[in-house]
Amino acid sequence: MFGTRKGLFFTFDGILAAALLLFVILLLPQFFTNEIPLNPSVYAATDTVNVLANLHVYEVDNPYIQSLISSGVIANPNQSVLEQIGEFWANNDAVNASNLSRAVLLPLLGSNFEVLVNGESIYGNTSGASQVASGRRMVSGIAKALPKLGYSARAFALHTRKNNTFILAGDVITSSVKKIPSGNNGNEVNSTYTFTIPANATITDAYWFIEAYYTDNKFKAYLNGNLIPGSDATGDKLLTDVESYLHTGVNTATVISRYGAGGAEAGEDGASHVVVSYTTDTPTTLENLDKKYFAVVNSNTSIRYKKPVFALGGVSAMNVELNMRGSNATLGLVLNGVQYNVSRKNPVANHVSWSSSEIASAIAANITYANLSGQYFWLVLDIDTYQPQQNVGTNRAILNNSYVQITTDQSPAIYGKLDLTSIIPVTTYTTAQSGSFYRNLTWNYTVGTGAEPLMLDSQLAWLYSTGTNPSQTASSNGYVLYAHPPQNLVSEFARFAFTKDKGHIVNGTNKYKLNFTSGYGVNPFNSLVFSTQLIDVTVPYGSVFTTEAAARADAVTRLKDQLGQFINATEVGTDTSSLGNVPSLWGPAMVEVRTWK
Amino acid sequence: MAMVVFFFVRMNALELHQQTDLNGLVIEAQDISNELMSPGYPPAWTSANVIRVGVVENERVNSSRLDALAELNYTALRKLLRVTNEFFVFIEQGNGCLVPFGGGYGAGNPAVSVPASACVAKTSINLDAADPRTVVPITRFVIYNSTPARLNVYVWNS
Repeated sequence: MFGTRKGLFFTFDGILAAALLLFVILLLPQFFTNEIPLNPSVYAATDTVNVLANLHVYEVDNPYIQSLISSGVIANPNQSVLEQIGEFWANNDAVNASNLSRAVLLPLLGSNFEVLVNGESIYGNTSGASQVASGRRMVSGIAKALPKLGYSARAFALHTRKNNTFILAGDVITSSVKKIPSGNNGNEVNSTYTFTIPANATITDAYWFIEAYYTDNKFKAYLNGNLIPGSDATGDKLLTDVESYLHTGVNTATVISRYGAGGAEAGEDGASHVVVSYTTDTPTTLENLDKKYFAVVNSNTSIRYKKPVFALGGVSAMNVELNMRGSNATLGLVLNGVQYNVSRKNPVANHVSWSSSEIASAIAANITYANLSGQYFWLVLDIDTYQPQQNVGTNRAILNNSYVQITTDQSPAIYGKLDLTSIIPVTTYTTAQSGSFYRNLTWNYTVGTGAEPLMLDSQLAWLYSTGTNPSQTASSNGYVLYAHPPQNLVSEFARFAFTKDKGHIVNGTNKYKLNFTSGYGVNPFNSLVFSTQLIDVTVPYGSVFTTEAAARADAVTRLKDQLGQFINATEVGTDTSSLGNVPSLWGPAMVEVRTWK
Repeated sequence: MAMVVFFFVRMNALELHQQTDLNGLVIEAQDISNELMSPGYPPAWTSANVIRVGVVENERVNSSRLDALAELNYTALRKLLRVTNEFFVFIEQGNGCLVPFGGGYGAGNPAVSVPASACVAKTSINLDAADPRTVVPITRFVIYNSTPARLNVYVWNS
């Protein structure tokens, strides 16, 4: 019994001792502060040589040096210590070169330094030292009046103001306005687009081109609910100087179209557009690259909505969310003139959606999402079974906040850069198809150095002679991007766009061409071709100049050239770098400071 | 025997951890010193409008910017310098005396104390209240008041 109790005591002792030891092991390091001596020569050599190059001789607070100044041995006390050391060396005055070096550097570096000119030791001795760092600076002007240093500068725009263009390109929207068997059914097709102008923008100009689906359609146009005088028109109408009807923030553009003189459907043919010119301090104004909203549409007959969609990157997913009124909605997808049906759905609480997997599986037998990448495709949405000629019934509508969301596998790095959209005027148009519609059209445009072309987009006012089979070719910089044949005829060649891939858009001069044969034409005056570029607001270090001011001026000039005529840098920053080892500026002497631990 | 093995394993782990810490400290020390060795932005910046902190132009320390540096509160200064560790900046003249500025002898962690005297040496800098574990010092050479001087940065973790 006694022996058992004794054993128990020893066990407790052992545990206590082990715990104490463990405590010490774990906590001992926490009680110490480690000061890690960083290699002192990391910056010492370059810093020191820079100090010598910027410290004037007259500033050296040393009686011996002051006596050299007083006695005239140092003739130009305004020059730098570095230059003075070089001058002593050039004059074979090794003693004063050494004394000057010591006077300045001994208090700073202690004894661990050596000064050399053109490899000849002036003061100190590196032999035996480890981890030697070296800083060098050229001294010219000793024998030749050459610049002592070269300067290079970079510039960056801290604040900018850009003259940008907002383009609202209309979709193809149709609905019946003709009753059975004939005549006006009294229906009005009301389509409203919502768009945003940046909050801090100043709107400088705006115009609105409206092209009805049938040339005999009558329509009226409203901006922010206000009827635009002169907009009560037939077929098409260009409304200029409408900027007073717009404001920064959210705006609406409404077209109410109706029966004309026999055309069965009313609406828009996809060529309508609102163009707003504005200036803004906001660098990034691109919106909704991956989310495309449907216009709000109201009609008392079935509705067909064709929405062109252009994806910048490779498409990996897509979904459609639709708020609507009607019995059912049917979704299809058109690529290069061929339609692929997705499905028909009945709304639940006025809402229908198509998931990405639903759409993918519906088109899988023919195409995949990869086929949609980098080009326009069309979503075709019918509200109720679409009939071009129909008597009026209940209200059908595509309601607010309906959209298609696209997921791309690569998003352009638009943030941190300045985006700029500008309209490209037509360069040539030849061979009239009919009226102002031409078969051969060219748009030449330039992308400046330092700009990254994001895309070229075009909204085309087209004319197709039904029943013909014209050839259609779209090309850029000599690359054929679309050609019928062999590809399918696109009767509504209303949109075409492409990215910079494979040299389709380059920095420099570009040429976008459309060519058709008899039966097809594009009206260049009612079409829009526009490019979007991302512009870097910095320029790198450039050429070497003999003065810092010249280097800065060069950088600012290069920046302004890069920003181009549409961007004004309201505040520019510059950085300069002095270069001592520019071969063209090497002088007769190289002063070197070596430091070590 | 187990305790001995545990001790060595523990020490190796600590060494590896400290090496990782050290690399981060060295990088931040260099980054801070590089930033301070610039003129900063905008030109003639003040604590009210500073975008980039820098106190040196053409190797010369600008006294106004040095005072402005001291006016910045530590949180703002850390954010401007984009650092995660603790730091203290001071300037040492050729005679070994610290340069007084902003009512003290340096800028950085407010827990650092430097008792005033006619000539304050850097050995008077007391980091104890900041509870440093590993301190990385870095020295840059500058011109202060027409005299070569040392711009020192202490960076540490707690």
